[in-house]
Amino acid sequence: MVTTDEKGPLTAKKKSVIIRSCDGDEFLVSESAAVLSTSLKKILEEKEDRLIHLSDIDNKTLAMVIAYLSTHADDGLSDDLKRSFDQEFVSGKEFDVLKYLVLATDTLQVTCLCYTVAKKMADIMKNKLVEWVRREFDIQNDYTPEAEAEIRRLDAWAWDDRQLEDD
Amino acid sequence: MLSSRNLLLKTSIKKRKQSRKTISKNANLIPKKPKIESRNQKAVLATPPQFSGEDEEYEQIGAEGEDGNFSLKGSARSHSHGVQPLGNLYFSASSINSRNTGLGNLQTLTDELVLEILGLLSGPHLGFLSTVSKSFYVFCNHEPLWRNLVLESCENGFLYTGSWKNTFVSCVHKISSKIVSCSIKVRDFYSDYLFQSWLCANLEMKPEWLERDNIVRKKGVSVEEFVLNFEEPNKPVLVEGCLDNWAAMKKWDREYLVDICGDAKFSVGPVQMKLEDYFRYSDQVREERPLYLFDPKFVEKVPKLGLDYEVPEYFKEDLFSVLGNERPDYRWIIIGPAGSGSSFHIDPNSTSAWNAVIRGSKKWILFPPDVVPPGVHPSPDGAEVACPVSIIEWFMNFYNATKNWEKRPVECVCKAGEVIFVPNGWWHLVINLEDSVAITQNFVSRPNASTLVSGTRDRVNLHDKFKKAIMSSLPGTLDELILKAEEKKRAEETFFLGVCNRFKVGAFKFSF
Repeated sequence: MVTTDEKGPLTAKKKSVIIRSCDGDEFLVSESAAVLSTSLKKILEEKEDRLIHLSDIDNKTLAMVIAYLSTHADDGLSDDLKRSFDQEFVSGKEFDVLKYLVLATDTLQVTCLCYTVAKKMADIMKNKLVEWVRREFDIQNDYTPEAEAEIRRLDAWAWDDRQLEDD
Repeated sequence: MLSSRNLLLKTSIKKRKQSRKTISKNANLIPKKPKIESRNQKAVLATPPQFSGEDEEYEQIGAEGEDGNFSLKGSARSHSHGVQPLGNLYFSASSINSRNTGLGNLQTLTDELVLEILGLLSGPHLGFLSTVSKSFYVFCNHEPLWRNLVLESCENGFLYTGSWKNTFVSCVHKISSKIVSCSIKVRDFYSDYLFQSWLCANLEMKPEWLERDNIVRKKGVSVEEFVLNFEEPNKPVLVEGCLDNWAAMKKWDREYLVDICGDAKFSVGPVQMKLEDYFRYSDQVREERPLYLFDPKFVEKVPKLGLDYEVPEYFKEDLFSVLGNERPDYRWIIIGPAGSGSSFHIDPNSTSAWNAVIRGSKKWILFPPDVVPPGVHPSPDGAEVACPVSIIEWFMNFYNATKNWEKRPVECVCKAGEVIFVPNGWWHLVINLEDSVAITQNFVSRPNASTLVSGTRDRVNLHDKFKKAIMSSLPGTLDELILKAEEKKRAEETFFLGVCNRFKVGAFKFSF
């Protein structure tokens, strides 16, 4: 599968690269978008080959990252539009999706997106009940009840007057 | 510029991520501190929680012996939460890594990403998330997170109380800190990142890192000889004995400095704090990159400090002084504990520098302008440098590589009473070996002015001001310099990297 990015069909003068996900899907991306990723930029500087294989990023995650890169490489869009795109980009996404995104942006070194996604993840976690966090992330509570109570007592200052959410 | 933000910059897989910072004028030092016994970290820590029976994995912080190739600082504690390097997992009977079980499906995130996300939360959020699991406890109590929180919220200074977390709770939440200053151990927690962070905070400088001392040392050298043999050829030198007449050498002990500085606040990283409070911090702290006091306005703030030293005669000629009040910051007092310092950078504005140690001692490593030090990656425009997270990490990972280099660095330990000359364009790294106090000044002397005047056309503002000021106060000098510059054109090319980023006014920024 070759998907062109939003910039439409490839023109002869515009250079592009093909990026392959770990599950074999291929994406045609303009070079100007690809180089917004520091890792891809380095790869492109080092080799002639226009095909880059990413062995640990799946097709869904890669498609999202490429949509982000293409939008940010579009000189026709104002910074304001790009910012609202960023907000829209992370809103409503499930935590698991964000997790794969943050790993992918870390690998690809897309610093701004990595920050945006990490911020969204932090926002989701804040003000949540401890039970919510354990349930959501499938975490086994490895404290004994006494130890948990003690930890909680020691950080009692953090709990004062705090309304925590369970959803 | 806070470190957790920098965690996003990743340049290699094996080594820890590198920090990228604006090239800046950095230095470091520390004053002699009488050890106040009760300031000992252990004494400050409250009794840890007592657990019974099966909770034997919770132990009080212990002074466990450490083995291996590294020697740890005398007062080093074992990792406060018992974090071990990942390799130890393969020798463990259980093969359970409580890092992973306690993170659930977040375990696939790297340690850096977990900390990046947690670093975007507030103190209270970290406080209650530590109740989720032992793994969350370890991550949420990672001291650099709390350091960032303190530095973000206490720009007018802070009273350090045993740990950054305590400091946050007492300064921001105004709660007596004793209650939170516990530390528990978690069994079977393996993480290279957290372990190395702890190791770098506690590692002693190895003797072999200090052995090589190949700088030219001079005592009683004449100004002419200095200009001919060092300044003009742009070579480093260590000058002994030229501070003997400084009042600072006799007077600047800790009590005196605290006394005359009073309530004046100095720049310490991004915050402003009183000297007394800074010493309170630097006495207690044990961390990978200690904050150091580095202030360009110390004479304006405490005029008495300016009376206790004078520019050594070798460095008196300073063409930048013609800029008067418009010259960029050029002199600093630098105070810092052992382990504080500056990683590799080139001083901005094509300036040379001298650094005079008044108390303590500093290890210096210098590379000539045409040799980029190992592990250091300047950006193409030279304005930023990516280098290891900390100086100690540079020593661990890169120092050995310099031993076989054709162009070996110039190295030395500069002790109290000695002055080092850092020629313009040279890369340098400095680390305090003990609590130190020093004065440093950047200057432009005639030999390096030719580079500066011709090499800075793109920085129109300062360049023009400098040119005008020179023409009016030193007629004829400029023509002479331009002639000289042409002769030196070839030599200049090697300076290009350094020169092209030098003419940012205000480039003498503090970064850490």
